[in-house]
Amino acid sequence: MSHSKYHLWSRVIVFCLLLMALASPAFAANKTQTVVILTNHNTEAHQQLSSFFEAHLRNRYPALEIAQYLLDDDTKKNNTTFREIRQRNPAIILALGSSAIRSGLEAFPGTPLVASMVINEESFTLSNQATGVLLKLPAQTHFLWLKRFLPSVKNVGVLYDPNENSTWIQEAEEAARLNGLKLVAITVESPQNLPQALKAISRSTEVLIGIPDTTVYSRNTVKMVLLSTFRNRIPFVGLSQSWVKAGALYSLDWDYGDIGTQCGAIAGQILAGTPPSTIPPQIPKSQPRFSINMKTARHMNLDIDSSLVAGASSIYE
Amino acid sequence: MRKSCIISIFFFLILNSYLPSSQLLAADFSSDAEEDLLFANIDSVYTASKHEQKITEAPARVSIVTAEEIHRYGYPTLADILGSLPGFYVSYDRNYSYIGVRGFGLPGDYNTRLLLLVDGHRVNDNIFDSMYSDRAFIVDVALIERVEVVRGPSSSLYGSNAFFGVVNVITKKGRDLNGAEVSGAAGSRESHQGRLSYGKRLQNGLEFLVSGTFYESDGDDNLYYKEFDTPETNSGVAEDADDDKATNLFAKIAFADFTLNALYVEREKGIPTAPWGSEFNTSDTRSWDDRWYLDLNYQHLYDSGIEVNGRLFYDRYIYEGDYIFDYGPPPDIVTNKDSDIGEWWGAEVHLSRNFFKTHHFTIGGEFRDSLKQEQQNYDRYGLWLDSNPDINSWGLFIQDNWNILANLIFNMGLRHDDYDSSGSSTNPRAALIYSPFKKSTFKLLYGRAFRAPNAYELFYHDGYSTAKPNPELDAETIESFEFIWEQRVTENIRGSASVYRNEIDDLISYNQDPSDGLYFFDNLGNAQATGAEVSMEGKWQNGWLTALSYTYQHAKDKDTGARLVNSPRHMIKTNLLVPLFDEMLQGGLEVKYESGRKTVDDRNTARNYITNVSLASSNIVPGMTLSATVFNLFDDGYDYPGSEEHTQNMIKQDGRTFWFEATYLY
Repeated sequence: MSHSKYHLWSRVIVFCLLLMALASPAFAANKTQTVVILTNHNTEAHQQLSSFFEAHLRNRYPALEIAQYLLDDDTKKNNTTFREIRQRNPAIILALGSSAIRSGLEAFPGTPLVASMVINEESFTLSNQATGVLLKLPAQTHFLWLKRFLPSVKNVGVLYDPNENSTWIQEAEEAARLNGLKLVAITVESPQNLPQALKAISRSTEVLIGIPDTTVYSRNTVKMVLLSTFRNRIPFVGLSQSWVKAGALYSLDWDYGDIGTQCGAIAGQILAGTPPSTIPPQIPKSQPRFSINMKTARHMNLDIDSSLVAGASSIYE
Repeated sequence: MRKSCIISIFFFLILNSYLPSSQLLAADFSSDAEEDLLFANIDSVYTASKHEQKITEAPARVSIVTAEEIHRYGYPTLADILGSLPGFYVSYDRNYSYIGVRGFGLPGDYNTRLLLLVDGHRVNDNIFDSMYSDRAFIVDVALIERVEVVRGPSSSLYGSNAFFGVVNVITKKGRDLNGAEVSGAAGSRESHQGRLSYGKRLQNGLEFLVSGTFYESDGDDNLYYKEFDTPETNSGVAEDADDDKATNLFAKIAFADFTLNALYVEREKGIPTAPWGSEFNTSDTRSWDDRWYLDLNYQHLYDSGIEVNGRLFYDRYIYEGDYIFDYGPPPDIVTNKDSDIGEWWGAEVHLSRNFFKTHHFTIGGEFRDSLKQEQQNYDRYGLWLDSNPDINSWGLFIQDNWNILANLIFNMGLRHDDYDSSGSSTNPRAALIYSPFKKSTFKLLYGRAFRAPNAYELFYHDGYSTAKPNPELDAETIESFEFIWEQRVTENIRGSASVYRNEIDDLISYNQDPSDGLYFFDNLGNAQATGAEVSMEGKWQNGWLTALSYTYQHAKDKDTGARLVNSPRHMIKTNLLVPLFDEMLQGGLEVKYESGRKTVDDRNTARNYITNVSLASSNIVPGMTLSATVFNLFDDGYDYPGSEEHTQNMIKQDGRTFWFEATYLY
């Protein structure tokens, strides 16, 4: 080969190599990444969270493929779903709800997982691959809003199972003290204890704050709690909007769209290369929303500030 | 059956098929995941306030009447409240109202076989063991938060008098008024009532409610009784002899774990029926009942999980009766007086705790010390009766509620009582409660109860002119079997059906001794009552409420097979509450049908149909509630059987009357 032909071919080869090196990110970027949303509920809140999550990611990764799957009670159907997901080889799984989180971690142990629509971080903190946004309200937030709704209240009741909420109660006692309130925390170790505990609440407190606690608040106890507080005119701060609809005075809730955006931001960090284990679990960053049951307020002879009524996301009459 | 009755039943059925079968979904915790607490659909408290867990898990058939229903139906007395319930019926002899339960309502029985509690305090007195449900009831019905009625023998928990059931009246608290309330009412027969109440819960936790009520009525000032239709007795017309007057005072103070109740009632009633052979057409034959008590209650839930409930009480009861007799010939008009004073004090304590997460265990005890059980009968000729026995009692009980499975509960209780008068009695109760399906509950119940003879039954006489004592009386006992099926038909409609059998031994009844013509109490044989009750009730969030019940009851003397006196075989009751005009007005309709009742002379009263309508409003004027009720709308003429003390075997009841009430809350 003559010297001039050698130079020509070497230039062509270098040019091709350069082209390949420059093109590889684009090539890599053009290779479709998949994000899977896995959920065990299809409520309006879940849908809102999913759609805002999707919108946030699409804004940054227009080529991203996002697929949503609803888990079934049927294990066989779920296994088929998992096989389909495996074929997609997702880069990240967004899991909504504790059973979706559990399934996601078991079926896809190596895949980063962003968890939400759960109250307790214990559902995913054992895994290095998971992080998320918890539906949790700090006690301080509860008391600040309580003072807005019921400024004259001093004795605040909470029912709790020590096995589930001892830490929150310790935090709450300190927050109550700082806010000039007295926390009356009554233990409920089993649902059988609940009737006496509710009687004690009616005697010694002016309001009952509901906190996520599966011993106190379950399918078997929800009616008892609502009726007892209603009948004894003890305002009950419900766990969510559905409790207010059922008769609780008010509840602090979340903007599920904002949570979806927050989850999207976490997913973006993971897609950019941050390991999930270095991202600590978060709580919602936006201000809580609230709903009010005005019929309950009237029954309790309570005057709710008009600014609160105007600012409520839902009013029940 | 009267058209009005058929129309209302038809209306009930059509209404329940047209009304939305569900305005709210049931609680739907699809799994036990913690976050489901946030997203579940939950039954509204505004539909659930009668349908609470308490009813389905209680080891008995329980009924609850709320303050809202009392107001919307315009019930003026406790007797009217109880008379609306399946299996209950009322008698009135122009002096007192009597409550019959499950076919059993012996005339002249001072409601001794029902235990009446007010906020847990036993109200039956220590002379007659009576439970007053008319204007002599110690609480103004406007102060009632709710009435809980537990059917069936409950001596395993409450001791004597809990024979056919327990009526627990829960009164309002200061927070329920949160201010001053003034009420005025007027009605037929020159009836008037005024009430002033004030209640508050203070920031330091002190809560109080005080109230005073005054009621008076001329009654029916022209009552005709054919048994007295002679020229000498005003042609059978008792004029101005049916008046009624009552004063109630109420005070409740609560702080921390202590509650002090102080209640008082005095009631004066004219008696137009000339009982015991007394003179007819005189307004001087009348009775006075004064009742009051102090009750200090302590309740605390300790961190160990033990709940302590203690009570210390002092009670007093005074009865006076003036009976005008002619001791002649020649005419010798004499006022024969009954004067009774009952005074007692006592204490009770209950401890309860959960064990092993499935057992709810309660133990307790009580004692009652009679300071006075004075019965006197006298006139200007002498003191004929001066009795003051000292009947004290104590009791100990134990109960366990065992959640064998999530849907299977076994409740068992045992109580031992000792009475100075009649010895001791030990009574068990057992109940199996099973919910095989989410909306169905089955209950199998067995219970035994007793009723100790009271001071009146044991010792009363009037100098042996009409009555004599019987200190040898034994306690009467009841053994009961019942099967109940409770079914949630739709999210807003609940049904129940029950069948029962009661066996009563050593029944204490009032009889005339043919050998001397004197009346006395005796353990005269045994009775049996069997029956069935079917009921449906619906409640919707928009305020609609309907109820329909049918009761069949057959009560008989076990030895002779004869049907018991004053026991209707069939009862149908239907209730309807309807919001009108954007819920500012509520309409109420109550229709009751009863088949005839046997009288003491083996005849039968006619069947009766009573229709009551009411209109109630809230906040047409802010803070003001108005109500108007018409009782016996179609002016149905009906009678209730008289008792042995009456010449009349049937006593005519009121025709159409009305009652109008206005209440203002500041």
